[in-house]
Amino acid sequence: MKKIDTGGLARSASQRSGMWDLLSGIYRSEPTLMLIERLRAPAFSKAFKELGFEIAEYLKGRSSTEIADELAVEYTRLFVGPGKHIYPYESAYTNDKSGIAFSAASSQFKDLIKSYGLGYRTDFCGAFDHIGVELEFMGKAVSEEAAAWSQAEHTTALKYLKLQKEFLKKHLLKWVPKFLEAVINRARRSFYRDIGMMTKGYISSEADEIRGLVNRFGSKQRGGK
Amino acid sequence: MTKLTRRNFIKLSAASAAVVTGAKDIFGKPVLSGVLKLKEAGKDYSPVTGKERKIIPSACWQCVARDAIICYVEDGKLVKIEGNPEAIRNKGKICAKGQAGINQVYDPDRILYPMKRVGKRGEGNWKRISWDEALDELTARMKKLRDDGHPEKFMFHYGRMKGSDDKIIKSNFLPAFGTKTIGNHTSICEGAKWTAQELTWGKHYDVNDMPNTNMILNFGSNILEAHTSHIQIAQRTIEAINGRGVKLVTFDVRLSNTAAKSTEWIPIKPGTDGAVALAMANVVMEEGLYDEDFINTWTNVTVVQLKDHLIRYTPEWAEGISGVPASKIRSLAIEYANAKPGTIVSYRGAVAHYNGVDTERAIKTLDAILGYIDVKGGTCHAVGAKWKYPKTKGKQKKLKIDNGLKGDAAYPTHHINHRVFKAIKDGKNGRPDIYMFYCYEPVYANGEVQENIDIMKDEKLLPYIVSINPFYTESSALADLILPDVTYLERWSWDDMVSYEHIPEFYIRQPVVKPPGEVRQFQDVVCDLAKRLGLKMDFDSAEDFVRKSCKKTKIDFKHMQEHGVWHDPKAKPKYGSYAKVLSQKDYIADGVIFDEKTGVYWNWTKSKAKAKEEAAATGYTDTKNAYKGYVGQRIGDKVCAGFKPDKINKSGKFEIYSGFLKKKGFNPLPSYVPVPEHQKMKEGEMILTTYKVGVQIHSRSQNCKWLTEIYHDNPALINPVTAKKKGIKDGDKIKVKSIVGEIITNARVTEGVHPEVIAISHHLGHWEYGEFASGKKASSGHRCEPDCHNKWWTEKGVHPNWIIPNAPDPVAGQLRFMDTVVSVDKA
Repeated sequence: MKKIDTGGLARSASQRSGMWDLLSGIYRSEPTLMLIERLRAPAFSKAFKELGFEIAEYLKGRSSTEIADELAVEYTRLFVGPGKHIYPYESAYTNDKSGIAFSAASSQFKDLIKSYGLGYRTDFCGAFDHIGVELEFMGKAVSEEAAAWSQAEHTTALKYLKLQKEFLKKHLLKWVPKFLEAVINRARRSFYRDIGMMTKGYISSEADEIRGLVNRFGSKQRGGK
Repeated sequence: MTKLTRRNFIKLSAASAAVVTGAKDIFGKPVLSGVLKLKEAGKDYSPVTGKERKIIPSACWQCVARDAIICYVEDGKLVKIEGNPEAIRNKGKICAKGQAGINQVYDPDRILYPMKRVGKRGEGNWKRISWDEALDELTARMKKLRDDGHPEKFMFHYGRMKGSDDKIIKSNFLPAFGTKTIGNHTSICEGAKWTAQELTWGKHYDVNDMPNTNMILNFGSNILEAHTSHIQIAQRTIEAINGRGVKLVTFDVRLSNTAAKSTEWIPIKPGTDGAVALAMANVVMEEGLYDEDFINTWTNVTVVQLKDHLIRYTPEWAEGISGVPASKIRSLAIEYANAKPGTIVSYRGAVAHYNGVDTERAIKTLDAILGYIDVKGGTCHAVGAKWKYPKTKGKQKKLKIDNGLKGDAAYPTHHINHRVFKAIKDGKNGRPDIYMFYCYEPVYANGEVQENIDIMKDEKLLPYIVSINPFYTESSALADLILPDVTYLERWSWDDMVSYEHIPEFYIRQPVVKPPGEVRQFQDVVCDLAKRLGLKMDFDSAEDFVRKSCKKTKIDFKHMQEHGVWHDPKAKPKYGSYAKVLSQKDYIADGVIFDEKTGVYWNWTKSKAKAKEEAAATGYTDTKNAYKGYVGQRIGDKVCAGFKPDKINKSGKFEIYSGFLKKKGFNPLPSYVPVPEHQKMKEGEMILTTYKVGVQIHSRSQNCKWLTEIYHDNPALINPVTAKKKGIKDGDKIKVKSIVGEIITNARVTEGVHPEVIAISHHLGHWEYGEFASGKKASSGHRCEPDCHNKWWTEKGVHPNWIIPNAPDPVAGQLRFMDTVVSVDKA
């Protein structure tokens, strides 16, 4: 049997985790000055360009403060309100269509998060099933997978992969594509439109990747002796 | 233009990791705190106290479907049951009955101690005794029987007993003791279906391959509410009809919820499903839509033979019999033949009749002539887990009473246990001195309830009755000794229900909570009894048996404790296994001989023949138990696995023509025989049919408060046209009378029932079984259930079995539940 390159898998998972964290941060709140400056780094500019996005163009030629202000307005208009905006949390798309941010479904999601040993920041006052939270959860799951690979703990890594697969299936894939369609259609700044498209593509790409990894390593397990 | 390739995302991920890792304040604060721990995954917490709940996988036993479950325990109390998501059979789903299993554990009327009758049998006076006293008494009686050379006078009669529960008793304890006077309950379920299958395609049990089928015909089965594999078949059927637009056509005398969810409900006169199936087969043959290759290769008839036989069964003829329009029969037959493949579901609605065996044969024949047998999307042989387990050998004697009275049926391959009491009353084949019943309700579950009560009360007929039961049921009330058994949520066992994935699933049941009082699992008690009787068995408890079975089967016991289920991930469905070509070493072997007449290779040493010459001279068909030595079937120049026989020495072909039936004076080809009583009905008489609802099990769930709160009354369904003729209005009190008795109930006037039928569900009308079932507290109940005071209903419904004769069908001996002719009048 071909030897598994656990070091390579650990590096890859670590990078994937970074991407989930980046997306989580972008949706969690208005972009900070530091984020805007970091996104201007050449590595990002090159990667954005190769993916076919104009984010680097958008971030060029103006002060970070000016861009941060503009994106804060856009973020509020898109995700916060007042007025018609896009609900950035799961329960608005799945259990009830009322748009109530703190429904029973939202509380059930909180219970789910707690069951994985995680808690919510005490001063957090957003929806428990906010897009930022779900992306953050994925980041943590992939990060743990990376740690498991680095210790060559195949079984544990597989368990985290299965968790990611299930979380994607039961949560992100159920509602985020619809949410992102709205973002892409209603964004006035290319930044959020591109981020929306990029998020959509990344989730889909990750779903394929994770499914492949689970199939690759999952078939080696059995209960019988 | 975007280029959202994985490669480009990897580059972006690399950049992200470099930028994001270790950078503080780059985003708004993270929301989640703590470290994601897998060991916490799958945990559950009390929504009230926040306390963590213990999670234990196990298996349901509310009904025979026996799904894999996950149980949640909080502070030692079972608080929630869900489907086990790892199970390939029920795929994480269970029904309302399964969720209400909690009520079985906390039934306030459970029997907590061994109880001994005081005063007259059935008076309801009991004395609590210790297990030692109970087992001393029982052991003394059993020892005497054995010492007298009559172990067969100990009769063990069971209802629901499967998996290791069954093997501990039937493959160990009873052989060790020496009795084979064993009763089951299949004749009140679907015995006729199984006998029909054994006469045609061999080993019984069929699975409809819903995920791959293109059309479903359903003859009288309420698959979305109460099938033998309820959750398995229900979810796959729904996925097929809703997800893929598969047509489901239901023939039923009643608008069940299955009929309501079907593409089409076709009301049909009771006992005439066979006529419709035969007419459809007629259309298939006449229109040339049959699978000639399957008929010629795998059945024992020719196309010409079939055409000649079926020509009389025209759709027009069937319309006159069944009330189903000929044009509908014709169009459905053509549509079904073109579905390629389709599958037919049948159950008690079709088979619990005088002509049940022929109906099932006709149904299977329809699938066979279209080549829909054992193919993807067709009607397939069932696959279940094959456990290996400890066995105890012993010489067993029996009283020949399990097939009822002489002449009751020609081939009672699953016995006629609803007529055991009649055989005991008759006495010609002897009577048991000890009658022990286990998870069985002889009084309530059979027909002719009054006769059952009278026989059980008669100490001359049944001198000593032992009930193994967690509850004080109608039958327990007539026992002399009650040994309190655990519920399924407190027991150790392994199980093996068939899989709709066509891949065997191994699963176990383990105690979720400790049993209350002095309750003990009966399989542990028999280990104790065996020691007292000086019998040797290779295990000392039910848990030990499960552990040893796991070891023998090479399944990791620890994995089973943690996951509850296991299947081989490499296993694949084996469609068309009958066509498997055997190698020479399979059929050229010691003891294997060839039978020219049938083309069967068989090992005579596994039959009752004493010598090879005798076996060869008598032949495969006529040698007792020859089917046990079946090896393969010659097909052309090959030897194939064929349709393996069971219980009957049929060949390895799909026997549309049955020489066995011919021998007993029946038509050898599937035929329509009308129900005799239906031919002699007087003006205004009706046919009684019984049915199940989605939230009750036949007789073992009415003590569950959640279920009985939902369903506690069962008015008789009557069609408005009939009701008007009889002057009956909705809600009127009516009298339903048969040749064996009468009941008073209320009428529910509804168009959802055939005009000639009166339909009464068969769950209710208990007169014992505790507070929730009957409103009568059990003699020995403990009153710790807080909801006892919250019971708001007083109805308890009626039980139709009081007026259903314990009549057998002439081939299998099946109780003809759906044939009873009754008069219905305003009371």
